[in-house]
Formats: sequence, structure tokens, C-alpha cells
Amino acid sequence: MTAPRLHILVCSGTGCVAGGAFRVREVLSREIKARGLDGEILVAPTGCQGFCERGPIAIVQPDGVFYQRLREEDVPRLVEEHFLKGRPVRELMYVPPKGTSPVPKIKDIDFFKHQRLVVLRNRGRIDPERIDDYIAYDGYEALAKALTELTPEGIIAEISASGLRGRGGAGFPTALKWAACRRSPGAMKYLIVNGDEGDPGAFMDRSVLEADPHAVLEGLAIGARAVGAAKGFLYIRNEYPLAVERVATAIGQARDYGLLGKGILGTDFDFDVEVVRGAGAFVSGEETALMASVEGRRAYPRQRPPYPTDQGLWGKPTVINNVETWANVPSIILRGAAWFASMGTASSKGTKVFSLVGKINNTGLVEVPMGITLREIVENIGGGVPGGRAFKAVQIGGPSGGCIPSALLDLTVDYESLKAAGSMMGSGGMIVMDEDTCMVDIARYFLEFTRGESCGKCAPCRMGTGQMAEILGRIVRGEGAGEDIGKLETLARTLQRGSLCGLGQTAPNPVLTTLRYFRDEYEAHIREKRCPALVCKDLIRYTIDAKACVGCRLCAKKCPSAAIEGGNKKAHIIDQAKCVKCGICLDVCPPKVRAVRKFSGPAEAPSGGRPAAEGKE
Amino acid sequence: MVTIDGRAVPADGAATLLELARRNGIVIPALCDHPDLKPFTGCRLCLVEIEGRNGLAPACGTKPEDGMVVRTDTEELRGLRREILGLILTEHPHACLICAEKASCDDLKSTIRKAGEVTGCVQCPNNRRCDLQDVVEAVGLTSMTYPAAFRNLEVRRGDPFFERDPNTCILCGKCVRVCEEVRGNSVLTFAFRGGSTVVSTAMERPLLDSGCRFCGACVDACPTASLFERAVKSQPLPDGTGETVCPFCAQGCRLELGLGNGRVLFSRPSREGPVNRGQGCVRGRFLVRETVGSARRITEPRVRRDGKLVAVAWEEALTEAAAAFGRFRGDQTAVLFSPEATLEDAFVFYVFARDVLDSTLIAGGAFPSVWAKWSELGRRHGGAFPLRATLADIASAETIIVVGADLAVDHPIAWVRVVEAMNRGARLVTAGPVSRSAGRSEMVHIECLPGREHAALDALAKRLEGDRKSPVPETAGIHARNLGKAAEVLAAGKPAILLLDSYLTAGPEGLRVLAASWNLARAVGAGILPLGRGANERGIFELERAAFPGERTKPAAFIADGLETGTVKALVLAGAARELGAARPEVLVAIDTHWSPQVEAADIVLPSAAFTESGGTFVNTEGRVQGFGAALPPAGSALPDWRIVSLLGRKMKGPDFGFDDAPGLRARMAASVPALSDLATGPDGTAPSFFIRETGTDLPGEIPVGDSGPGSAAGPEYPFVLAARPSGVYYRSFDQAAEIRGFGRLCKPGQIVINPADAVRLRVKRGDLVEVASPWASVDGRVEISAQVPEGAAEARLAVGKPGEWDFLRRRISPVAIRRMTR
Repeated sequence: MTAPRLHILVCSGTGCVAGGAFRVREVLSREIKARGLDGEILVAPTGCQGFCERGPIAIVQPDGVFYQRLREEDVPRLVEEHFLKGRPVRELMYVPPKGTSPVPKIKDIDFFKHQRLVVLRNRGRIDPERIDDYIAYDGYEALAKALTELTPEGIIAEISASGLRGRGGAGFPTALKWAACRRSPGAMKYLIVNGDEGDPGAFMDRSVLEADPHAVLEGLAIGARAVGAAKGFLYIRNEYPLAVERVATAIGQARDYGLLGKGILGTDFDFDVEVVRGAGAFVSGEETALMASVEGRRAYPRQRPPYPTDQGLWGKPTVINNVETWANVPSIILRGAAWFASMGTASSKGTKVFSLVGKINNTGLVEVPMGITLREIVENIGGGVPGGRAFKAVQIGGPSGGCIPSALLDLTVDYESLKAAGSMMGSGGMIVMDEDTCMVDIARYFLEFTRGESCGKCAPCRMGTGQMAEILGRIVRGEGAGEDIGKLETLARTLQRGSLCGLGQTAPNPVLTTLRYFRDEYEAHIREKRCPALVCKDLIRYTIDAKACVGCRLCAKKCPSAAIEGGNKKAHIIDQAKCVKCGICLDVCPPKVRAVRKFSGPAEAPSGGRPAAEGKE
Repeated sequence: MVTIDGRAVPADGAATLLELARRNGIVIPALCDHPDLKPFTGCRLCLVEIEGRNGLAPACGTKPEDGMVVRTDTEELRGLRREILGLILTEHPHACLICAEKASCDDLKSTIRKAGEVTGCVQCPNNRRCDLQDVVEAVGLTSMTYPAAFRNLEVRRGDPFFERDPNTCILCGKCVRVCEEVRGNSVLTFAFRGGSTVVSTAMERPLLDSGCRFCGACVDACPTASLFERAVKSQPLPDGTGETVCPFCAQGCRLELGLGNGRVLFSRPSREGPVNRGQGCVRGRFLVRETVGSARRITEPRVRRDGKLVAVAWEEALTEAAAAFGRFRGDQTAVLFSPEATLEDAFVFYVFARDVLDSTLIAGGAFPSVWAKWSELGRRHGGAFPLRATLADIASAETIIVVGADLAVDHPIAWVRVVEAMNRGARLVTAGPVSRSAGRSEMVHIECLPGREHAALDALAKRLEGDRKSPVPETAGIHARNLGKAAEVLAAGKPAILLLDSYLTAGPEGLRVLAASWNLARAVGAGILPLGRGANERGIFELERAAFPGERTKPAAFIADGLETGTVKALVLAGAARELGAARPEVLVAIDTHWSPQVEAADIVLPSAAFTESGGTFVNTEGRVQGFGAALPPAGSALPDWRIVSLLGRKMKGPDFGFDDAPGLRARMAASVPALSDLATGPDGTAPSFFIRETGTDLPGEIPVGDSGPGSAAGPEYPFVLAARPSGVYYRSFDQAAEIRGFGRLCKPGQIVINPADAVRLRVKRGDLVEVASPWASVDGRVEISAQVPEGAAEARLAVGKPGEWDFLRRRISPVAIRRMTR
């Protein structure tokens, strides 16, 4: 058998699959076969490539040509032109937001070239459903090293020297956790992979599990050796069916190869794992709640101490780490602590995976070295804010995190700096916001989220999140009162100090950071009944500039509430009592006319408003 | 040493900081803490500051450690508590809690109390016994910062005994946790999440359909009025309290009584009860009030004149009774009294039968007690072996063997102790036709056909002794696969205890079950605890032994036969009317608390004081002697049974007979009954509590179990084996299931439970009316379908008082045919 001339790596992450990647792959194979190229060209599925916004994606190796937004109907041309005739199809290549000509090769694309891949090292180059692919890229060599060359203490020492900290949010040193569990008395110990990723807009763990499940399994087996555990559980959100499926496939393969189960790699080391599907609540990601859920009980968190390393699953010593933490382990063991520690800052080592979403050109999954600045991520990798809008803030850490304003764009990404800025690393959600985002509304959104996801066990969180959401709701409706900011701050303190688990303790962060950096927006809402970002419906109104209006009746015809009056060729007027503030009039007013204006603030002070017609996409 | 608020106190084995603080008089407000439950740490009011720890720690969930420095009362903590309590109150009707007029409201209030919807304390049934009120007081909350968020959820009123109002719930979870952790039932659960969280049942079904046994533990744990006893809702607060021992089964729970207007307003399990320690069951919790306060109470002596029972004075009634009995001698007369009779009453019954009537026909209940059977077994095998296991031993056992019992329903305190043991990791082996606690991982069940329990125990004992060859009797329906597993469990866990339901010892297989139990207990090294039914069965057995040494009395069956054949001419029927059957003697004197059809047929009716009115002494199933006083004056002119019989005896035998006061009676009893000799030592007026003195020596060796062939094989026309269990829902002659509506809905008397496969074969559905016929008798009942009953078997709870049903009960196991009845 001869080696194929070309490898077509078709991304099969959830994003691309939703965009039709499976269909594209099918048609690809069919077209290749139809032209008799099937011996020469190999089509292989891969895990998530990260650039989800451009999916479905295919990379042609060995040249590294990057095709994006592929549709079934593009495939015959692609096969004909590129694979048969050797003429890459420029129309299917990526064009950077600020450029005009396509960038053919993946290594030249901004989104990829600033990243540093450790956890995602195998993304886009292996088929996640083939263990041989993983092994071909040094897979399970770290486990072999851990079993044959290192003692359990040696493994922990290596992890300790690497400076690896928990990637689930709080950043607890991983080696300390392992050592504590190792020290705990008891023959039965457990390991858990926390794959209950619940932050809105975050999908790092899903991608790792889908793209490289063996990396997690290998990390887990190394951890088992280190702490002396015989059983591991992978707790994966039930909403991640593809991840569950790929992990199950990987477990089966690893067992067949003697990499899980009894006598691993011919040693006397036994370790096996089981997949537990999540119970469908955000709080299940809290470690004690997660353990309750694995035990088959309601996912209620419990007080710590005792910590899981002393009394965890079924009361036995347990190490629970995030997916990404586990996936880091094999590289550290294989390449050494010094290599890992060479990346990052003094206290935050290695890399971090973020899901970069929101008002950003290059949406997707990125892995960057610790210590990189937010500016590099947003501007270089993310390609900046679309539509020429101004960057306003980036929300990091999901409902537990906070909003970091543009003034702090040069902040380095590490546990301490983010915490000092009022946010947190979190599991890696990064939501970029532009000037059209109301920060009070964002705070309200997150508090509504935590209010709904609070488990209901402890009083401060159950009712405090609700009261905070109510106050924020009043403020965005223009019903805020002078003492509301004070009340929010008191409630925030009550939640931080009084709540049982991390969910409640960190729930006020979105409010506290927006109060810290965007207090003027709160005050504009409360005092002037004005939404500076022109978002809060109750505080905005649409008017028609009589001088600009040409009386084309376009807006009046489209208005769903018949609020626009005015005859042909006469200036139109919006009846504010009837207006439902849907903004359709603004959207349909022809760009040459631009007579519809959007304002917020008291009617007698229209200067407070900002004409918002230009730049609407 | 732990330093709390600057005071160094010894940790002294306190489980939590909260407990330690309370012990030292330091008040920390708390709403979700409960001494019997694991820490929940949900209300967050007991947060304290611990030096050297990040964040605050809940005192209820923190173990005191040597050297800990704790502050419970800092400015921050006070503020935080006010805030958190304020948040809790946003969902709870709180108008009255923070009302400026609170202090003078009690004198001046014009509001209607006990409104349909609770909007403030003055309409709340829990007013002034509410933990939340106390905590508001302690925290010093006087105003509300946040707007009320009244939840306006539906109040669940459809279930018996208590209502569930989620609008006053503060989600402390005590009800959910007591149901799971203490009662092992998990009927109540949290549903939904966040602000929508409520305490509910699975799929929000009624409690009646959720496996609830209405023990009331949740009601007693509730700190607010969210779970509230319906009958008490519209009543004033009690003006007095009392204490009693529950007479409704043989466990001996101590109950607290709330009294008002000379009536029992409510009864609650007492935390000081040595047996029950704060737990009880539906009967002790909800039926005392309905039973002693029933409109069917007999309040004055009556004598039959011209076919009608007319009220007369005591003197006249007693004179007439004495004259009627004077016409007969010896075994022409008989006394049948109920197993709920106190030691005082029963002692006088025995003395009366022996010394006044000269009759050997006296029985305390329709069934020979398990102790009588036990002693018979001993006699047959040349020994008298004592039973020394106690209910407390269950909780400390590693292995518990349960034979034939439906513990959670019939012996709920034993079940609570079993749950306690299982929570600790103990294992449970059950044997019998029905697996009562199926689904618990701690349990191994050995299934057998009804009446073959002895064969199952025998097979298990043999397996335990390493005998893997002996064949398992095929006819017993025993699944061999569980035998090995059960033997493993039994071999591993010491100490062990064997619990034996006394109903198994009725019928012809009774002695075999006892023998097989003895052999198994012997092989395992387990103590045996028989679980009796009547409140004083154990005590009555001791009295009988002492009054008639050498087993001269005859079991109740002789009385029944004597009545049928007409040899018994005159009968004293004391609270046992239900056990009489259809036959009537020439003279029937009923001494009873409640009217029943049998009492209404009597010639002379003498009103009896109920247990709350007479006081007395019971010996529970483990041999614990517990005295209790009278909490109330008797209904009408009723008198305690011992007093009535003393007066009657005096009329017949002269002034030397009988007793005038209970202490004197107890002193006599102590002197003449060796097992009860400690009864006199307690100072007068205080309730005695001790274990009866057991005598006897252990039997040597194994007892042959005897024939293990099918005991009740009948022809193909009777393909089912019916196991009849007494419904056991009486107090004396008062049928609680029939008279107390809510209780009737719970016990569903007259149900015939069969296996789903048999239901298909018989073409019957749940609720269909069927006839169950044996070669001797037949009963009707409604079909219930449960996979817990093996194929070919049927189970029914039958009433002692109904002649047809009694026939099944007396045999316990009957071959039957089941036929669907058409209307």
C-alpha cells in the first residue's frame, strides 16, 4: 500500500458538524472515488480545529491549505480543481476581516499563528476515534514513563515543579490536590474528570473531549498512578452527545490495547474508568455537587471541609480536576516540568484554552500561553471587533467572572491579574463586547442565569441572586432608585460571604466588575433613565428626522404596531405610545436617507442620545 | 480546648461547633440544624468566623478541633445574619414578624386567627411555636430591606392528617432529610431548582400514592407551618401537657400530649422516650386524639332492660353483673381481655379469674403471644431460654436478619433502628414471601412461599454451616441464588440480631419458624428479638406465668370453642370485643372504652378509662417496663379496668378482694411476679422504666425444625397460598381504620395483594373485587398488584373482628382460590 498523496482533514467538531461537515465529508469521499483518486487521497475526520466561526473546515496536507465555510456544492469543484488539477480554489479560502486577498495556508492565518498548542496539540491532525493516530503522536508514552520510570511521588513532584494549576476556574495547584489525596488513608480512592462545562458561551472541554479523548484518559491514568486510585469517572454533560460517544469509543480502544483495566502495559497497575452523564444543571459542575450527582443523588453542593481529597465520592478520598487540567498531564510528564514551566508567568504556567466568542471577527477556540495580554487575544487572534465598532469590554470566566474594560486590554492573562481585576480565569469563556452592549443589561443577564441555575439549597444564593436580578431588572426598565447600587453592593457581599458554594460566592462578580468599571452606566440608567448603549428597550425611543425623511413609507409599511404616520412624500412621525421599539424602522430606512434616529434619555435632552443609524450591519 | 468568643471550652466530643456553643450557653441562630440529622448547612445563619480560615464556616457543619479560635458574634456576622434572614423572609409571610404593633397585638388584635391563607403570624397555626419567630427575635430583625416575593404556590390539602403549604416553607430540608436519613423512606424530596425549589414528592403526586406512611416525623421536624397537622390547625394553643406510653403496638413509644379543655389536642413522640427517641408512627402521632376523644366513647354504666341498654349508677350495674356471674362456676365463666390492657388491669383480671371465678379460661388477646409459643418450644426441648436482645441492639448490629416482618409498617421503631444501622453500613438479610425494603443496596432478600419461612431459614442455616449439598426444598419457592450471598453477609457481620414478626408464630407452622429462627440465630451468634403486636403482650405473658404456674390457663381458642359449643356461659369481655367471633354466651359483661357491635350486644356495659385517663404500666416487646400516669380525667364516669374488676370481685367475693390504689396494686404485683419485682422499687408517682428480669438458661444445641414438606398443600382447585396478617388497627374494640377516615385511606383494609403475573392469569386489575375462598371460609377484597408478592402467593391484611377473616388469621396460611366477582 502506498502512502496517500494528500490528506484531507475534515473538522468534525460540534460546530462544523452542525454546519454540515458530515455531509461535506461524505460528498468528498464520493467525488474522490468517482474520479478514481481514492488510493491517492485520504479523507480523515478530526476533532475541533477551533476556528468554528468559519466551519465547516477542511485542511489539505501536506501543503497546509485551509478551506473554510464549505458547502456540499463546493466539493466537486474543490476535488476537480485542487486535488485533480492542482489549482487551489481561492474562493473557498479564508479572507481576513481587514484584508481583501485570501490567505491560503493555515500557518499564515492570524487566528492560528499566535496560538500555542499544548492541550490542543492534536487538534486537526488526528482522528479522535482512532487510538493509533493518538499513539502515532507519542500518545501513551507519558503513561509508560509514569509506570516504568517514575514513582508516584516522582509524578507528583513533576506536576508540582511544572506549576500546573486547576483549569476549572479557581486555579488550585494540581500537585497539592494529588498529594493530599495520596496522603489520605484508605484503600479505595477515586478520580473524577469534571466535564460539566456550563458557562454560557464556553466549549473548551467539549472540544478537548471530542478532539483528543485519549489525552484525558492518559492524564487520568497517570493521576491514578500518582494518587493510588483504581477507578476514575468522567462526568460529561449530557448535552455533549458527541463527546460522550468519542470518549466511550476511546475507553473501549484503550481497554483493548491494555492501556486501561487490569495490568496496564504489563505492569501490576490496575485502573479503569466509567462515563457518567451530567444531570443537566449548571451547579453539577461544582465539585461536591458533581460527586453527589455521580452517587445518584440530587446535585446539591455540600460544605467544605471535608475536602474531596479527604472525603469525596462515597466518602472516599477523591481527586477531581477539570478536563483541560487532565489533558495537560501527559505533555508535562513526557516533556518535563521545566518545558511546561517555561511557558507563562511566575505563578501561572503553561497555556490556557479560551472560547473566544461575542462581538469578535474570529470566533472560535484558542489556546494561548499564560501571560499573553488580552489585547493580543482580542486583536491579533480574534481579529478585532467587527463592523468597525469600538471594543468595550471582555467578559471572562462566565457567570462567576467579570467584565474587563478596554482600559485594561493590556492586562496579562494569569490567575492573579484576572482576580485583581475583579474577574477570574474561570473555565475559559471569553465574551467580547462592543460599544453596543449595555453593561447593566449584561450584569442582569448573568444574574438571571445564576438565579435560574442556583440549586436552591442555601438561602443567600437562592434568594440573593433573585433579589439582585430583580434590582437589575428594575434598573434596566428605568425604575431604578438611588439606593439600588448600595443594595446591590450589600447583596453582593452577603452572597460572597454567606453562600455555601462557589456558584453563590462568585455570582455577584458580573455586577461588581461592571459597577467597578462602568458605574456611570448604572448611574445614567438610574438618575437620567438613559441607556448609554441604547440597548435597554424601556429607555430608548426611535424618532424620525423630519428634515431627512423623504416620505418613502418603507418604515410605515414594515412597522408591526402601525406606530408610524405620514403620507407619501411627507415626513413621517413615530407615535411613541404605539411604538414597541423593535427597531425595524431603523433597519429599513435606506442608507442614503438615514432619517430614523435612536435615542435614550429625557426627551428634552436629545443630545444625550446618539444617532445610531450608521454602521448597522 | 476550643475558644468561642474568648471563652476556652473543652471540645468534649461535641460533633459540631453549634452543639458545643449551645452546650456552653452561647446562642447561635440556626434553622436547618437538627440533632438527628447530618449537617445541611443551607440556612447559613450559624456562620461563624474561625481564625486562620478563609471565609466563614457554618457552626452546624464544622467539627470542633483543638486550638480552634471561633467568633460567633462579630459586627460582620450580625449584619450577615440580618441580611440572610431578611432574604429568607422575602418568601415567607412576615408582616407580623416585623410589625411595630407586634408587642401589643396579642391584646388588641382584631384579625381573624387561622385564616385559609397564612399572611402573617397571627393567622398562622404555628404561631408562638415557630422556630422562625424565635430566630427573628434572636437576630433582632426589625425591618425588611427587600420586597416580598410571595410564592403563591398551591397548598396541598388532599392527604390525610397534615397539609403542605409551600408558601411558608423556608427549604431547611429537615422534612426531606428526616424522611430519608431517619425513616429510610425518601418520600419527600426537593424538586426544581433555584428560586423555584420546593419540597415535593416524586412527580408531585399525593403523599398517599408516594409510599408515605404518615409517621409525622416531617411534621415534627418542620420549623414553620409548612407541614402542619390539620386537626390542630384551627385550635387554640394547648393549656397543658401530659405524657403517656402509646398502647397501639408493642414497641412502647413515649408520647407527649398537648391538652386543652380536658381533651387531647395532639400527641407527639417524645425525645425523652427511651425506645422511640423522638420518633413515632402514624398511630402514635395522629390517632391518639381521635381515639380517646372519639364520640364512640362509653361514658356511663348501662344495663339491658327490655332489650335496651339503659344508663344506671355504678352500684346497680356492678350488683347486677355480680349476680349474673354468680349463677356459674369455674370454666363456665371466662375472661377475655385485650393485649392493650396495662399490667395493673391484667393482674387484676388474672387474680379475678383465678380467685373469684375459679376459671382457667382467661386470655389477653385472640392469639397466643409469641412468648407463650417460645416458652412452649422451650418446654418441648427441655429448657427455657431467655430473649435478651433489645431494640437498641438493632442500631449497633452489623447484620440484621428480619423474618417475615413488614417492619416499616408494623414495627416502625425497629425499622428506624434498622435504618440507623444501615446508614452506618450494616447489612440486612430478609426472609419471607415479600421483600419489604426492596431496592436498598444493603439488603439481601430470600424469597419463599408463605408458610415456608422456616424452610428458608433452615436452608440458610445449613448454607452457613458450610453445607452446600443439602437441596433447597423445591416446594418452598426459595431462590437458591441469594442463599450464598446472604450466608456471606451473615458470616461477615457481628454483632447480629434476628427480628421475628410475632404473627409468624400463629398457625401450625409457628413452632417450626421459632425453631428455625433459633437454629439460625445460634449459627450466626445473633440475639433474637420477637416483635409482638399488643402493647402489653410481653407483660401479660409474665403475669399469666406467675398467676397460673405450670401453664394451667388455656389459649383464647378454648374460649372461642367454649362459646361455640355453649360450655362457656358467662364472659367478661374487657376491650377484646373484636376477638369474640359470632357466638354469644348467656351472660356477657363488656368492660370497654368504645362502642362496637359486640359491645352493643352485651347485657351489661361498664365504661372503661382509656390509657390517657388511667395511666398504668406496659412491658414492651423487648421486655422494657414503662409506667405512665393519667394525663386526663376519665370520660364520663369511666373507671380503670383494674378498679372495675376490683369492685366487681368485691361484690362476688367480699371486701378483701381487689385494690383501692394503683401503688398498692403494683406493690402486690412486684411481690407475686418474680419478673416484675423491680416494679415496687420506684418511688411512688414516678414512672418506672426497667427491663423485666429474665430467668432461664440457653437451650443447648440445634432444635429439629421438623417436617419441611408443604404445610398447606391442597388440591388443584385451590392454587394459591394466602398469607393472612392481622390488620392490627384497633385500640381495644375501637376500629381505627373504620372510624378514623384518614387512617382508613392509608391502611386500605381488605386488600388482596397478588403478583402481576397472577393478575394477568386471573384477568383482574387493581381495584377489582375478588372472592378468596379456602376449603373452610371465604372473604371478599379488592385486588392490589405488587411484584413484591411471589407468584402463586397472595397476601391480605384481615380484621380479627370479622368471623370469616378470623378463620384465615387463626390458620395464617391457607390454600385458596381467587375468583373475580361480577356485579
